Amino acid sequence: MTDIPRQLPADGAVPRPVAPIARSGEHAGPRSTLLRQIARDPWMMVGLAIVVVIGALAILAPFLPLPDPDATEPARRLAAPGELGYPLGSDQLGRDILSRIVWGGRVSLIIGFVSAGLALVLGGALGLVSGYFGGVADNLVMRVVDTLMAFPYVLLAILLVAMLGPGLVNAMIAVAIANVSFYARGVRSAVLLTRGQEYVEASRAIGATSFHIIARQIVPNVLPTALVAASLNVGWMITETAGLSFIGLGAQPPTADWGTMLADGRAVITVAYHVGTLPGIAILALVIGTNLIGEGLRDALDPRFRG
Amino acid sequence: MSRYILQRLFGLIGVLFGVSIVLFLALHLAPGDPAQLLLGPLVRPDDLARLRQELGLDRPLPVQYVTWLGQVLQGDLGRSIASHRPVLVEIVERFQATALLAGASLLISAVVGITVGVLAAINRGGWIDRASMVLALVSMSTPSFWLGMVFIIVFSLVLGVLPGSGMISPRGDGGVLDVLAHLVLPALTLAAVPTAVISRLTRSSMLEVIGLDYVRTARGKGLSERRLVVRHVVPNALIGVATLVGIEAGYLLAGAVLVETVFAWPGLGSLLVTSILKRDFPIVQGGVMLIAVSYVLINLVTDLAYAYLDPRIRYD
Repeated sequence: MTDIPRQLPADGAVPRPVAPIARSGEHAGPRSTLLRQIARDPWMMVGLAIVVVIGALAILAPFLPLPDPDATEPARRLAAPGELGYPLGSDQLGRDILSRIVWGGRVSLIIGFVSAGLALVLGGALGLVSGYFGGVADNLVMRVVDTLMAFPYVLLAILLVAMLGPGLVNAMIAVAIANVSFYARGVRSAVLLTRGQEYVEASRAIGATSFHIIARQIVPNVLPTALVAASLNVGWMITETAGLSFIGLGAQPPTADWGTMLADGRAVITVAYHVGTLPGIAILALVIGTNLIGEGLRDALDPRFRG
Repeated sequence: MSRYILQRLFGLIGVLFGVSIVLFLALHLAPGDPAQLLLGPLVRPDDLARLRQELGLDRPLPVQYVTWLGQVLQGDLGRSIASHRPVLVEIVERFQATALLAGASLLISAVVGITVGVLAAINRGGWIDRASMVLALVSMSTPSFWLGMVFIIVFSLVLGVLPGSGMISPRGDGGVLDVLAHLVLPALTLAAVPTAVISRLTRSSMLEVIGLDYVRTARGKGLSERRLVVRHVVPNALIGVATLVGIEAGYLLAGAVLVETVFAWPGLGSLLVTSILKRDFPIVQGGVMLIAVSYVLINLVTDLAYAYLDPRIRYD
């Protein structure tokens, strides 16, 4: 990292960004500017901290001194937080809620990133083909996209799960496909903008192949926008998949998943408040974290969208 | 304008055609034979074959599609496998409850979202601005099904001021007041995300308009801040917001699925969920179709309203 002035000058003027001086072994390209910008954005740091903590707990789950998340103990069911040795209480089957929340974090994190990645790759490929080649390919892709966009996301995801059958993997696929049209459109318009640039025309003039132009010029220029869109989308995907699990179409019991835990909590809401509320706080924290990161990245990478 | 409307209506037919193909394929690619589902597991093979023939399931897919589309256009969506009642009757009944819920949420989110957005923008950097934008971010990140449970616990179970389940109380008169009382919590729950989205967009488009030259000119002429905001900034800033409100209306119809499940609201969403779990595909198909068609129509009306509100917009 290059030096960041820790204090403003006495006259209160904001220091101009000084071109970073490259030290040996450190390259001071656009990337380090990006890192500096991120480091200066306190909200983004909060988001990173939340996601890192949840991520670390999820990765370390097997090594933490936690009881088996699926071990039932009917005699000690519905213990309040702190009671009977359960830090966050137990659910209606006597399972440890803290342990289930920590293990459930793995499911939610994987879902969020895998479905966003899947949607980005599928939608991005469609958008690239459609934007770069135009013509029949463009027409065909855009008609499919228009049709998919006639369904609100949630509904399309539900319809797809109905076809594929309930289950966590199917829910993840459904949520990804429901978002493909969003990425295809975004990437297509970014490709159209890039395709018309002079450096692309220059490449074509010196005889570069389409593959070369796409791989070396279009993709690197479109990628930041697409990544920003994906990072803003991760949180929504986590919520949406948890929602599918909540209505019984996603993760199936006994998987420790935040959505199914909320469904368990809904069933006993009149007798125990903590069963449904605590896992929801975990979802809320993770989604706030990913959204803060997404917005921070957007501000840093794509200032056009700055609010 | 009329040419634009015609163009859009023409495009609408194409989209609806696509929707019908997706729904037809969804039903036919879904695992499970409809004839088997209708007759149950204990059935003689020749009975099954006869029903398949009666339902036309032995004919080629394109033929089945055309027959099905013909029936749909005449309002025949088939019968529910679970209740044996016509699908159309079941879903229209439920759709009314969903429309009431989505409409109430839309009203709340438009009024609250625009008010908060305008206040935040004219107090840019002040505590109202910062507090409301933090709140908006939190509320955008809140899963609706969790918020609904928190509302039920706080307002229904602890305070006991509002009902947290169903649409009519078992011993109530089922009158307007009774339904309204049941509507409050689900409508607020469903409104949380769109309110946040609308307030953020209102704020940013207000700020954009405030920075424009004509606003500076108006201020230079000595217009009062109040008049400037009310007459010059808000109307222009809200054009884009109007489109967003339309888009949100469409999402609310679908987003109601989760909230209806939490509150046992007897809408189309909760019917869809139970039908999927029971593999009652005719209901799923009809319900999804009804929501998709309403969604497409709402978006069309939104686009037309946008073109009407902002004469600079013409899609030729």
